[in-house]
Amino acid sequence: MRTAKNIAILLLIAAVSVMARQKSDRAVVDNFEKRVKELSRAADSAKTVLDCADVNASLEELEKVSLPHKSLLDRALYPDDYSKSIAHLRDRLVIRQNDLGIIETQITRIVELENQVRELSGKISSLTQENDRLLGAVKTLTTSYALSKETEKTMFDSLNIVISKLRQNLKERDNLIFALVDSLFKQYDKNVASMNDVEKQGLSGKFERRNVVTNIKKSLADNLQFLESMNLTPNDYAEITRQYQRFASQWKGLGPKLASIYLSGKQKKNEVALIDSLLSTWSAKVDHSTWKALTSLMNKGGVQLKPFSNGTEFTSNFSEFVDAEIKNSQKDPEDIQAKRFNTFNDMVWKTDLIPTWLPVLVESGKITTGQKAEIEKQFGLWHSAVTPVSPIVYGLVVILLAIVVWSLSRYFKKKPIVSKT
Amino acid sequence: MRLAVILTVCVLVMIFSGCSTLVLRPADFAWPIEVVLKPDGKGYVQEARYQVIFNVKALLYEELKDSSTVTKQTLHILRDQAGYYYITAKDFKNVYVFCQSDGALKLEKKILVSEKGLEAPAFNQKAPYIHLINENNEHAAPVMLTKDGILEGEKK
Repeated sequence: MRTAKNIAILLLIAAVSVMARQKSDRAVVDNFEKRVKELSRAADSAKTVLDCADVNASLEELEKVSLPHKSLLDRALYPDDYSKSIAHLRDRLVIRQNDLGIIETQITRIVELENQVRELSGKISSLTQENDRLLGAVKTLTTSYALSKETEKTMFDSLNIVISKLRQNLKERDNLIFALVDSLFKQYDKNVASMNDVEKQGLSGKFERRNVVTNIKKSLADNLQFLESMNLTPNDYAEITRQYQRFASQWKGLGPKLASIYLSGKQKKNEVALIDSLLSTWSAKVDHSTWKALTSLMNKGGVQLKPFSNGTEFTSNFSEFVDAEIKNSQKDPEDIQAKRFNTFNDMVWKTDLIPTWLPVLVESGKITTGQKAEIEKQFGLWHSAVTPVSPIVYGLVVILLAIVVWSLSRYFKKKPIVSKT
Repeated sequence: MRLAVILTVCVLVMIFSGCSTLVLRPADFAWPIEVVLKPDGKGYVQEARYQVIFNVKALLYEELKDSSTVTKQTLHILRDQAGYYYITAKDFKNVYVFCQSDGALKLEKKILVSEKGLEAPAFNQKAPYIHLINENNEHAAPVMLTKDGILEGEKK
């Protein structure tokens, strides 16, 4: 029994020793000493609050990473042990901060922002991975759906679920990227224009470390890919238009700042230009897809408009269509006219155009408020043309007229009496 | 006669008690981490923290049959709890275990650890053993050494 137990223990030890990663203790100690020296130099040469915050963040990171080796470091370091080495480094930083007249709260705030940046960066990476997976799933499902001759509802539903999730993720990642950029800028507490070259270099390094430009490019590429994927509904396009607007407006604020930070590096400046160009492509595709989707939406409601590719053409073509409908009202039977109007009203106007499309088109600047009012007016005219006046309305008008006549006659009869008195 | 016996016993007790060795126990000579040293042109290695200095020319000749290129070798040295020195280097086939002697280090054991020669050796102090690892292969099991040889693990 005892032998069996011993064998089991030996096997366990052997297994653990095989599984465990063997690292040289000397390498651990050397690495710690090297980092302490580096941070010590960095603390001594810190010139701004940000430099101090960077050293502070690195010191915390070093403390966290080295803690599992505390016992080894305590034995190996000489004359200071692990805790003393960290404490000396911290004291050195505090002395430097005092020399520079930096208040502790400034450091704390920057460290908080840095943690926020780290967290956001992690989220962006995991969302990027998930989005790649979802884009792959959309492609596979779209191909399978196209190949299946009959419309399989389950496949269609799965595709829509994936698309919806992907759309949500893309939106979330775009927001996270700009939140990360915001946190990075906040650390400097000043405009890029008033930053000196060292600060710009520091910020540029941070952007580089957090892959900001790469993430923006990736985001644009994914959004373009999403736009090209099939099976998007008109509402998807409306949402994409909104997303493009948000992205473009955020980039409008960030682009010049990045260009200013990357002033020295030609390659990096080219990357900013590349983002501008990707954004233009996205804009053109969003524009094209929006009008295409709107055309299919109008067709779905039985309204065949002349081809249009901008807000003015859309408004004028819709007005032209309504004019034609009103003119034709004398030729076509009333019920057919009403049916055409009601189909459009029920399937497009009430469900999509009024609640989604028209506000989005105005919001994105594709149509003006005046053009929206014109479209609504034309719709009203069409409505009036196809809705016959009810006999009750005629009756009411006759009654109203009779009341008016009666009131007037009474008024004129009484008037001479008042003048005599 | 009886007095003579008592006196003899007393004298013997006094003689033996004067000859007995004073032992301080326990003692721990272990270094927490290995030291990595390059011999100077004359073959000396010097450890600053523990103030140890010795000549390794004979060791290099024993292992490589060549002691002319001493400065090219980097030796990994670690002392265990009992005070034995373990010495090896890259491309060595053996780990040498030395004990402290009168103004010298005396070979206690020559342990064959690799037929091909060690790739990137490093010692770790895992009292009561010394672990020999390959820094280029962190997943490989360590060779567990004592002054008498390999305790557990595989020969490479």
